[in-house]
Amino acid sequence: MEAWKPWFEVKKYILQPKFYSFKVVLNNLYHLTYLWKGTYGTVFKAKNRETHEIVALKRVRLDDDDEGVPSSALREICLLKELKHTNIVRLHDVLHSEKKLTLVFEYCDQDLKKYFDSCNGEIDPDAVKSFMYQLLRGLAFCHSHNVLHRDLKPQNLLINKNGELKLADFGLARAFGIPVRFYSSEVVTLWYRPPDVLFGAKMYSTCIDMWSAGCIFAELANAGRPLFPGNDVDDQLKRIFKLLGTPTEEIWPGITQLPDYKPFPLYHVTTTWQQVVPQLNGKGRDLLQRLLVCYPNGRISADEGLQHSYFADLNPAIKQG
Amino acid sequence: MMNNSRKTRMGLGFENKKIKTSSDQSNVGNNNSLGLKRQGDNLSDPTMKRRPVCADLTNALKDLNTNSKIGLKKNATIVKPTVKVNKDLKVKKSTIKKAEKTKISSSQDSSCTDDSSDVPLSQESQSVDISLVDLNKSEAEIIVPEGVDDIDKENYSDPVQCGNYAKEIFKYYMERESKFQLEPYMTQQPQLTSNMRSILVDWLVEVQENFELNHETLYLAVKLVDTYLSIKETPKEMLQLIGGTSLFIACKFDERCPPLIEDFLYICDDAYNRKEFLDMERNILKTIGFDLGMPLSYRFLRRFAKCVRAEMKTLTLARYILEMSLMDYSLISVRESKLAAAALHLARKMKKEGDWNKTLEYFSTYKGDELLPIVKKLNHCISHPSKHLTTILSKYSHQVFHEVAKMTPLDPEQL
Repeated sequence: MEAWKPWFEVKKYILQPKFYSFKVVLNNLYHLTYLWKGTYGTVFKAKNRETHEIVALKRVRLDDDDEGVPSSALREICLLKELKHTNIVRLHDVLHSEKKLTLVFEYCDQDLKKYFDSCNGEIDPDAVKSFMYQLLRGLAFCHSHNVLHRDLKPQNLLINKNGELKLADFGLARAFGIPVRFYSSEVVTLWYRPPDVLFGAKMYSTCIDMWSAGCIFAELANAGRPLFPGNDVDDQLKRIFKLLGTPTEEIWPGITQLPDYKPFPLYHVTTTWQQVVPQLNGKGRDLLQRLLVCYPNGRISADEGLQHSYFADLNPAIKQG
Repeated sequence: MMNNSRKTRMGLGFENKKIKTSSDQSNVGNNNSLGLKRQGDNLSDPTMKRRPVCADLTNALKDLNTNSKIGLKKNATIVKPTVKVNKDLKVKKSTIKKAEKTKISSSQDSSCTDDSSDVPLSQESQSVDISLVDLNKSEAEIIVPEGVDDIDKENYSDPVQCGNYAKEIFKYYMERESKFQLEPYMTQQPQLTSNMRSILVDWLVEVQENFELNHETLYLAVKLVDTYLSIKETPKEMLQLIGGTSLFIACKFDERCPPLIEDFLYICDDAYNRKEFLDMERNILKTIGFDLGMPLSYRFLRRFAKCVRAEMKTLTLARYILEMSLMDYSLISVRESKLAAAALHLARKMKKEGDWNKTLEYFSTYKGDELLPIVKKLNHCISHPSKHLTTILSKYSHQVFHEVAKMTPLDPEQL
């Protein structure tokens, strides 16, 4: 964890004209250190002057000539107001002025990506199980409250010092209806994007997140080595099909009618799951292959995943959450 | 192909607007008292450019019978904004259904519990042990009572219908809707009347139609307006700004490609400027506390219609009834789910499709008798449509909507 900068240093930072009003608006919140850049807006670490609570601030600048509150921010706020769960990052407050919008989140020490960096290629199998369970539990909560995350990746999974995992960055999330409508196909970071969306599918549902969860599961098991690190859409699909076999109309009806469908060579499966995730036990491999199913309808749901016997021997304290 | 059909619809839209405009303009010359402003009007009378809305609104209510022009500033030619993404790709349902999951293949071999198994992927996947995960018995599953048709069973693995989450989601909506239930607010609004509200809703429907917005967006916008008005006292000249901004917010929440703020300024005929719009956006979001995830009657309706596997025409008739209910201020405090149930009940009565059965009772949580007072109100709504606010009526008189608005409402005696 990075060292905190003393207040006077930061103050200099704040007193720059463009940051000045920030301090005024934020009243009892100190603005401390730059953290990272989200889908939209910048994230800072800050401390509440009264409660001494450490929070993360996501700030979005609003210009006069744009569209007011960006829809990504609007959705993130609305959805997180509804989704109150241990495995979903808590939105404490929203500060909204003419010039900027600031979201006040609970603070987590690191994200899963950084956690991987500190792993040096080794990860405790119990940690894998715990994180995966918490990921599925957070997802099940989203899905049963009609929200799709649509951007699951290690950078968007926060981990606090108690080992709790929290889904964050709902900038691409949206509420879905039943039945679902056409949504945008420009969602999910390439490496974690399911094959149906890579082929331009616009009618998708909760299974979009389940594919990403599968990719993250494999990455967890391999202590941070991404499963499908594609360079572009074609390369991404090629990597997926080389591992899982190229799907055909028989096993994935409707595949050829997807908007951006193009035929791929018929790769045959040559790699074993054990080669893919050598550290993962049989039950874990079973769960993984139920998640990584090209045909969207074939993917296991988050609810079902939680019932999987891979989690049977999970520490009860984590199960209770 | 899709493009063509859209163009045709747009064409129809334009024709309608043209007719309206010309009649409007003929009125402008001799009578500007009614002030439902469209851009055409302004051109003929530049002195009225800045917001004649409020004065007009008051007069409008006096003169309602004489003219269709009422209080809101409108742009005569509402043009569909921004490029809409085509409604592409419909993977045929039948093909999806045909594809039953190959997920669990029954095999006695439970080798996957054995860590040392090193079989190729495809083989391993065939030897999955069913006992590892009991897919049909998740803890959260809700079992329906006897005599009730489990409408999610057939869609359990169809992600489009979200069969596995549908019950949970609607249970959640039912709990949540009480949080957004509104109390009558007109008595606290000295400058507003329920008629002005109807005028606003009629305009919102017109914009929804012309911008080709989702119906959820329209319902959300109306709900936002009512929620805002139930909290903040509002001068009547702000009413259209609140309506426009609510729709703007609803679009950002629900639409894949929300129209731009320019489009909204345009449809309000520049009665408000960008800053006023953005200020109002902030004001509304603050007032309602950013809580946009409001359960909407429109979504409940679709759910309840599924209970009786209602055909499209019945569903559309119910949607027409439900949309007409948006116009009626006296219905704002009825629960969304109850309104939806009542709309479907009335539609089925009109089409003589039977009683409120056990399945409907279970999923809607309402008994047929409970719904009757609302059903009667709704029947009154569609029996006495406003002569001047006809957008919904003409919308649902169109073939696209099976001309459901032309159906004869029930005789109140029969209800």
